[in-house]
Amino acid sequence: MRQGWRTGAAWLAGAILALGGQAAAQQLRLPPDLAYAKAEGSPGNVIFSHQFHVPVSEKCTACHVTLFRMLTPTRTVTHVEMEAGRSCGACHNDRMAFGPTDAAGCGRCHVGEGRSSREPGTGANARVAASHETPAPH
Amino acid sequence: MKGAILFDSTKCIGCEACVAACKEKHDLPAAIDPKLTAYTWTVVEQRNKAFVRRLCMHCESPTCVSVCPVEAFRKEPSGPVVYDASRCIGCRYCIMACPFDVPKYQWDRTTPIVQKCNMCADRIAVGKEPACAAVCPTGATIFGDRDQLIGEARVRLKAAPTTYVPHIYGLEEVGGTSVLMLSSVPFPSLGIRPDLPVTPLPTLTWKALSKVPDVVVVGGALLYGIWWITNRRIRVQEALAQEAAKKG
Repeated sequence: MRQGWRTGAAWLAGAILALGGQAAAQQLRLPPDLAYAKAEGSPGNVIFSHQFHVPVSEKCTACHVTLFRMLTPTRTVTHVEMEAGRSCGACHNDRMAFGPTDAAGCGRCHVGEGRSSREPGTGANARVAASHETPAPH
Repeated sequence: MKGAILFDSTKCIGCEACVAACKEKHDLPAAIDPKLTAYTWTVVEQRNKAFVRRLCMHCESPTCVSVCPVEAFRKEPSGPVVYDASRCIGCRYCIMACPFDVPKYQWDRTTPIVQKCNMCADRIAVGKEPACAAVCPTGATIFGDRDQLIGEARVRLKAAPTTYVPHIYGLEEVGGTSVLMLSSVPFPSLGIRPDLPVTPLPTLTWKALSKVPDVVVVGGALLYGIWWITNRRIRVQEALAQEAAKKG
C-alpha cells in the first residue's frame, strides 16, 4: 500500500512535469521500445516505451525491480497479472493511470506491430502523449 | 585489463537504476535500504544537491584482504575485490578494517555471511560491464580499464575546470581504488572521507608483521645463547662440587 502511494505520488508529479521533463528524458540512454508477445485473442501487441514512461517517475525503482526486471527484461505480461495489481496494473489500474476499462478502449495499449504506444492517444493522457517526438521505427 | 568504475556525480540524476540492476543481478530482496546493508550493495544518496553512490571502492591494496585470517577476500587481477562465503568464519574483522565501511553482515540470519559489492566479477569475466554501469542511463557510472578511466577523468577535469572539484577521488587514496569518483562539490560534503592516507593501509601493519620472522629467529638464537651459558655455569658448578666431594 505504501509503495502504491509512492508510485501514485510519482505519477502525479510526473504527469505535471512530463512536458518539461521530456527534454531531459530524451538525452538519457534508454532501452529501445519493448514489444510484448501477443496472447491468443489479444487485439494487438502491447509496445512499451521507456521514452514515454521515464518522465512519470524520477526513479527507475518505481517499476524496477519489483514489477519488471532490467538485465533480462520481462518479456511476458498478462491481463491476469495486471488485474491483480501486478505488472502494468500496478499503475494502469483506472486510478493512478488509465486501466483496462478506459473509455478509449483496448487500442490504447494494444497498438499492434509497427506502431508505438506512445503515439498520440485519446482521453486524459492525450496531451502528454502528443508532446512526444515521432516514435522510433520498429 | 584492470577493470574499474568511474562515477561522475555531476552526471548522476539519482534514478537508482544502478541500485535496481544490482538487486536483480545478485537476487537480493527488492526493498532498498537507505544505507548499505547485506541486502543492498549500492545506494544513491543525495547530499548538497548532488547525488553520490555508495559501493565497494575495490581498493588496489584492500584492507579486508589483508586482515582476513582465512583468505575469504581476494583482489582479482581484473579489478574486483571478491568474497568467498565458503571460507568465511564470520570473524567480521573485514567490517572493522574497511576504511569505507562497506562489508555488511547478515545480522538477521542464524548462519550469516558478509556481503558487499563484487563489481559483478562474473560479468567482467565474460566480457560484460557490471550491472550498474550497464543500466546507467546518463553515463554517470561507466566501466573500463583503470588507466583509461583515469585519463577520461583528467580530460573531464580539464574540459570543465569550473564544474569539477580538481580531484579524482580514488586515484591515490589508500594506495588507489578501482572505483574513481568525480564531483562538483567537495568530497567531504558528499560524505566521502578526506582523511585517508595515500599509502595502502596494509602497509601500516606490514611494518610490524614483516619483522616477526626476524624477531623470532634472532630472539630464539639469543634466548638459546643465554640458556646455553646459564646451563654451562650450572654444569661447571655441579662438576666442581662433585670433584670437591671426592677429594674431601
